[in-house]
Amino acid sequence: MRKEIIISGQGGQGIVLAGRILANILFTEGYEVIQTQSYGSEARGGACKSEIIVSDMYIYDISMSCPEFIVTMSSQAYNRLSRKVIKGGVLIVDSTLVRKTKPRPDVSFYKVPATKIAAETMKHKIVANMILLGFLLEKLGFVKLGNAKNVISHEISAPIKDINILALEKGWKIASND
Amino acid sequence: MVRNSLSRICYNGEEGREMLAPGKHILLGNHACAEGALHVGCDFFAGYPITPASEISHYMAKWLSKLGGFYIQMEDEIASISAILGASWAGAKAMTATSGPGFSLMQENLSYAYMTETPCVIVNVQRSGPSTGQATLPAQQDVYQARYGAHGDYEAIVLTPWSVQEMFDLTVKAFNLSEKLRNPVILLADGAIGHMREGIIVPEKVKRIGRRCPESVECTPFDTDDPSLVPEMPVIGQGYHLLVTGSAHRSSGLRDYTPQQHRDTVERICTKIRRARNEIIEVDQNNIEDADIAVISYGVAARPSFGAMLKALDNGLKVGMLRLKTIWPFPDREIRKATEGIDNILVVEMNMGKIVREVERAVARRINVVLAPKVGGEVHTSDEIFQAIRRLKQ
Repeated sequence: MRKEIIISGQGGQGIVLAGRILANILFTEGYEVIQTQSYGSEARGGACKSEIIVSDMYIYDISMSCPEFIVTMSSQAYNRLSRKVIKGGVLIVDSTLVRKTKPRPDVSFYKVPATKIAAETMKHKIVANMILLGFLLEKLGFVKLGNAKNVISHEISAPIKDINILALEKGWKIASND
Repeated sequence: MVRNSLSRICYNGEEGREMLAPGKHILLGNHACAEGALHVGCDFFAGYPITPASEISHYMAKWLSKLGGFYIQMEDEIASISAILGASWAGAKAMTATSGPGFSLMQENLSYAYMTETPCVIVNVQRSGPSTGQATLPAQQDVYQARYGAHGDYEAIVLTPWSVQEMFDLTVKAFNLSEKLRNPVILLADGAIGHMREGIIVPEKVKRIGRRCPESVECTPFDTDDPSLVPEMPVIGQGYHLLVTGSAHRSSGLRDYTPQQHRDTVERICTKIRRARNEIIEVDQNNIEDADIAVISYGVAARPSFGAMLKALDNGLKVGMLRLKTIWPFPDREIRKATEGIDNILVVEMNMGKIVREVERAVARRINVVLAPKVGGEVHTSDEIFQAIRRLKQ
């Protein structure tokens, strides 16, 4: 088993954090994981991407070749990456931020208004990344929610830990009802 | 006298986190390098930030002082290497980290380190050049610079990690070789391994080789009767009559330009490394006994090379692999021995062809040697290398 995952968006949305947490979750589940990230020099607003490769064997190919799961949190990222999802893969967009999309009938295409849910239901727009991470984890299909929550509680500091865990659960729940 | 540098030098050690506990962790390659340095007792770091090496500096800035060590951000790379050489003579286990452009600036004082036999570790997290090149992307183009970049005659020790685990392990080895042999050691990493997060196991116990210091102030810091040819090294400020110069010098350190004296010095500083080659050189051999084709690679390029070897084996091809964890001193004897009976060698590296020349020299044209180069900042894929292996069979 080898799966390639991309989480993308803009600086300031917690793209790198979501990627790091995802890698840690997969690592604690016992998988081989490689995670890299790229971002512009801007603290906020520049294009930002986190790439994760997960496998049950030692990973010799350390570069992405056929991403199966892509999450995008900006139009720029969507435009650049949506075509790269392999046939039969999973494309998840934050539909609050990515308004114009083109059909991809060959992939499972999910439009999740994560930023809207984060702002309205959770009162913190910033946890949209965790909603999408929860959604992604459920669609990945081989990760335990309990383990994911444990990792977040280790990775994120106390004052904002709970809201991030709630957001993750929210995303997971939306995905399981989808 | 063997001393443990961490317990000796303590600059207002603060209470804080200890080093990473033994066991499994997921870490950034550059952080694993820094953590390896902390575990082996590095207590002085001076550096100037540069992509893709900066995280080593950041990590050391954050944790070194908490463990009783000392961190300085210098004004540039020339100052950085100067600072670690001074710190080393003051008794510290010292390190700096940079990338190609910074490594170029360090060459003059790197030569000084060879001549003065100053232990230190220099990490070059290679990026794609020449010049500023592709600042954030990996390459393996500094292979010859690490061997021949500094002026004069010397023997370089250069280690190349292929994983985050080896960023830790080979940093430990770099320090230990450096202290034991009184020679700079270069960890030649690259932007892909440095910038990738991956699982590592921190060992229960990390081997620490301490510095051999003379018992008496009447000593010869620059010559020895010991068969290792590595003189004991005094510490500045502890009563030794010490003179350290990059100019030709006698065993005492006093300048001496006579031909015989300098010949003896240069021969000794080269021979001490040549004598220790078996301890320095590590080559990971896989499946080579039954192979017709040997893939030879190192550092990041060895990762997809190994994957390609597995694919080739699955396809019924007789392929083996030699992964060079040490590239200098060049493991020519090991390669010659391992490739007896081999028809073809494929050398995989992220440059226009460097180690391939050394391999050709090692096998002296007895075996067909083919290069699979790659430049442009992208790491090879195992498919590309597999196709190169197949072409060799046609």
